[in-house]
Amino acid sequence: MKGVVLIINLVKKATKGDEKAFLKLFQIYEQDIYRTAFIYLKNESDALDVVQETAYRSFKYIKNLKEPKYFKTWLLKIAINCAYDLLRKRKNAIKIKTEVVEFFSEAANEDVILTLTVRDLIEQLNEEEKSVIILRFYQDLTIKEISETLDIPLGTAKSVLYRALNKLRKDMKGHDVYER
Amino acid sequence: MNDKIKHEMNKIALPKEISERSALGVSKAKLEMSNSKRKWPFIIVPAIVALITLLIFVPDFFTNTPPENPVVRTIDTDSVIDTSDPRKVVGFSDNVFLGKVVKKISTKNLSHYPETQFEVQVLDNIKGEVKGAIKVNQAGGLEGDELFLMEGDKQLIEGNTYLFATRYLAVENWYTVIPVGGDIPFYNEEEKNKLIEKYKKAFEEEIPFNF
Repeated sequence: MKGVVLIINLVKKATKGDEKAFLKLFQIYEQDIYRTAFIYLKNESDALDVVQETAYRSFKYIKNLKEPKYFKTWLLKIAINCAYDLLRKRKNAIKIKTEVVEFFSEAANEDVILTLTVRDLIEQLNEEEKSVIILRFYQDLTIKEISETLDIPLGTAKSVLYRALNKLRKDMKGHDVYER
Repeated sequence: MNDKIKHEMNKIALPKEISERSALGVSKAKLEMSNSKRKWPFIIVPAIVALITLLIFVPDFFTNTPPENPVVRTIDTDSVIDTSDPRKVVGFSDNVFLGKVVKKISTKNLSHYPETQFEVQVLDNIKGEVKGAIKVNQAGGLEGDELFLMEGDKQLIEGNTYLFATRYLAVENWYTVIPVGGDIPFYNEEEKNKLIEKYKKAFEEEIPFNF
C-alpha cells in the first residue's frame, strides 16, 4: 500500500513536469519494459530503443494520464505500441532470427526445458498473443485490464489467451494455466 | 504458469545501459516540451542585441561569415544531478580521467539535439580505467550556422586538455561527457595538479546517483 501511495505521488509530480520524479517512477518499470520488448524484437539493441522511446513518449504525454493508479497499464500500453512500431520498421527477419538462436545457444546448455519455453514465447506466438501472455502472466493483469490495455474486446482477449496457451501447452504440461 | 513465465522472462539478461536510455528518453521529451513553450522573449531579445553588436563591430558579417563563427544556442534541459558538486558529478560518472582532445571525428545524434564525438587521448585516470585514444561524446554541436550547447557548457576544443567526467554507452562505445561539471579545461601543470587533487578527494567522497 505504501508503495502504491509513493507511485501515485510520483505520478502527480511527473504530471506537473517534474523530470526527476518521472525518471524515478519510470525506472521502477524499465526492466519489465526491456524484457517485454525483447520478446517482440528479439535483440538487445532494439529492446533498448523501445525503453528509450517509451520513456520519451510516456513523459511527453503523461498529462493525458487521467488516473495515476492506471500508470502501470498505461505505460505498458505505450511500451507495447513502441515495440509494434519498431517491429514494423524491421524487415530483416532472417538476421534477427539468427540473433535469437545465438542468444539462446548458451543458455540452452544450462536448462533446455526452460530455454525452450522462452524460445516458444518468442518464436511460436504472434505479436497479439505475446502481448496477452506477457500482460497476463508476467505483469499479472486481469483479462479485463488486458482488453483495456490492448484496446480489444474482452471476448477477443480471452480467445487470444486460450489460443496462445494452446500453442504453448506442449511445453507447459504440468502447470496450471488457468490459475486466475 | 505465472511463476514459470516470470522465471523465464527474468532470465533475459539486462544490459547496463537501460537506466541511461530511460534518462535519455526523458531528457529528449523534456527538451521538446521546453522548446514548445513560448520562450520567444528570451530568444529574440538576446538575438537582437547580438545582431546590433555584429552590425556595429563586424559590418561585413553577413557577407563574410566563416562557418567556424556560429550563433550559440542553448539546449534547455534539466540536469538529473547538480553538476556544480564534484562529488555528485563523480558519483554519476562511470569514468573520470584527464585527456587531450585530438580531433573531432563525427556528429552522430541519439537525441533531437546535435551531439559531437571527439577522439581523446587519455592522460590519467581518477575513477575507472580507460587507456589510449577513446571516443568522447559531447551533447551539443554545430547544426548549420548554429552551435547548440548545454546551458553553461562550452564546446570541446581540439588540442586542449580537460578533466572529463563521463558515462559509458556500450552500444556506441563512447564516453558521454557530463555537461559543465564533466569537461573542465586545464592549461598548465599547476591547474592540472589542483584538479587531480580535487577530484580524487571527490571520488573518495562521491555521492552515488540512485537510479
